[in-house]
Amino acid sequence: MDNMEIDSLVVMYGKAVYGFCLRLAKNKDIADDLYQETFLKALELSRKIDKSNNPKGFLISIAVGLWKNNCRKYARRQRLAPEGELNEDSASGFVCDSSTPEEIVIFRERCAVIRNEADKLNDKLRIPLYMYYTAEMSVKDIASALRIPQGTVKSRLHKARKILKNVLEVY
Amino acid sequence: MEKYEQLEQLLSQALSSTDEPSEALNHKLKCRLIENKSIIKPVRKRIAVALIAVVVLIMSGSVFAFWRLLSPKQVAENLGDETLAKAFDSEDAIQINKSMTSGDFTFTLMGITSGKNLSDLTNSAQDIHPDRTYAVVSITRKDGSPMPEISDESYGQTTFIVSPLIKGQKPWQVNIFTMNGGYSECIVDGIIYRIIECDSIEMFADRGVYLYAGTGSFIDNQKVSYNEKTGEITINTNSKEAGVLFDLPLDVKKADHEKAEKYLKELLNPEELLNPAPQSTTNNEYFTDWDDEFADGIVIPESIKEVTYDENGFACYEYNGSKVKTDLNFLFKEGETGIWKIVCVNGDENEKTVIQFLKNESGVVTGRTVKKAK
Repeated sequence: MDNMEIDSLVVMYGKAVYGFCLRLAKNKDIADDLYQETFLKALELSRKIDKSNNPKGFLISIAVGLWKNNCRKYARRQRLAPEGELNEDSASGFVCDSSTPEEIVIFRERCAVIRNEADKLNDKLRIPLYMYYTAEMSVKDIASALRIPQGTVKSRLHKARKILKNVLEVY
Repeated sequence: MEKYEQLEQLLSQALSSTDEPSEALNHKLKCRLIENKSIIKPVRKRIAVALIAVVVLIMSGSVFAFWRLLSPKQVAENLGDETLAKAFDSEDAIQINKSMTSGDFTFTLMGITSGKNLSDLTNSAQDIHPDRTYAVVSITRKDGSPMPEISDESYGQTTFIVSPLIKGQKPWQVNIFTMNGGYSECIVDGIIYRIIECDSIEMFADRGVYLYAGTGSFIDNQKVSYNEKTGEITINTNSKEAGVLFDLPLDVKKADHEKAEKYLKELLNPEELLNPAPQSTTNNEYFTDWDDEFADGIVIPESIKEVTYDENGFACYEYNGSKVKTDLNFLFKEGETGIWKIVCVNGDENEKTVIQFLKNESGVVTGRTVKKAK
């Protein structure tokens, strides 16, 4: 794989990978780091990237692996220098069908609640959740990337949805 | 409250991301990609050719194969790492040069060294664990034919994994991936030279440390066997992959039992660091929800049957169109028998079933499907 091909991967999947890293890390500096490390690792493993066989899933699985392997590093970084939370207002450009300003406000508040609660989930639930909704991967691709059965992915997504649904009910 | 579709829509919009990497970040990334690619690539034949020319003149045929190899220092030089080259040339480095053959390949453990700041190539993991171990392994074909060059299309068709393993620790839990490892590789005259690096293994010197080298990309129970009682790790004789296991001759004086225990605790429970105890407890409660929900579930008698195993050793179970395949090492804890463990949940809000596995004392695993009580 030459630099042109890596460039094209950055162009094609950079946004998806970056969005996922940002959601996972909850911190721009760590997300920037994770994003770069993901593509550097991909270069190292570039012979395994088969364009016809889901390179996005491959990149996201690398990001997940790096995230898990670097938990200690990120935990230490957070202990040493607590960094600001991601500014979700600037990070979101959501649109909804709601027509009144009040409904739009409520909708945005609900989105904020979901994001906050999703961030509190254990990585076992959080990672598949972000792979599904943020990286827009299928259950099959998530199962393949995480090397777990599809049933387990469905189960984890179901648990995560249930928790978030319960929170919204209280809200 | 939300209907399913509404919840889905809300989740999709709340969790989707409109963020993009900045141009500056992508520029920085591209520079690093170019830089790294140039580091990975160098193949300097001149040194090897000169070495072989001398060796042919003075060495007998039987030891020629061994002397064909570059030294660890030369390998590091070839990969552009002068600092590491000096480290391999120092008295602290251990020269091993031991070869083992498996399948179509011969693996030679050439040398190993450990310490702080031994490489020009910095790794973010060094922020946490500055002590690193570096080992050089060469890989050749048993029949003497050359390995493909990096530029060849066939390069990478056979993948290799080289990883330290610790006696007393499950190989699939403590290996190069979990020990913040990485590798650099070059090919000189048809021989693959790989330098692996990871957190220092010297602290484990009193326990026994192995180096696994073989084909494939991961460490799993298909490649190596782990004896729960003795902690011994051995090559799985039924493995279809080529693989060898070297005993590393580390200096026992450098062992640090306390440091090793602390390291293993962090490695095996990384979430404890990220999630404070109350958070973990909360999440554990979520994970036991299904056990609670199906505590009085109705077992479908005809669904009870022994699981089968696929070629990768995963336990397989199927009933009424619901299939599941899982790695039992992650399902059952050591010595855990006689307990039905939920493997997966199927169905929708109206009707759910779970598939459960149970391991008996003889190690036989049985699966069953359970309906939720109405």
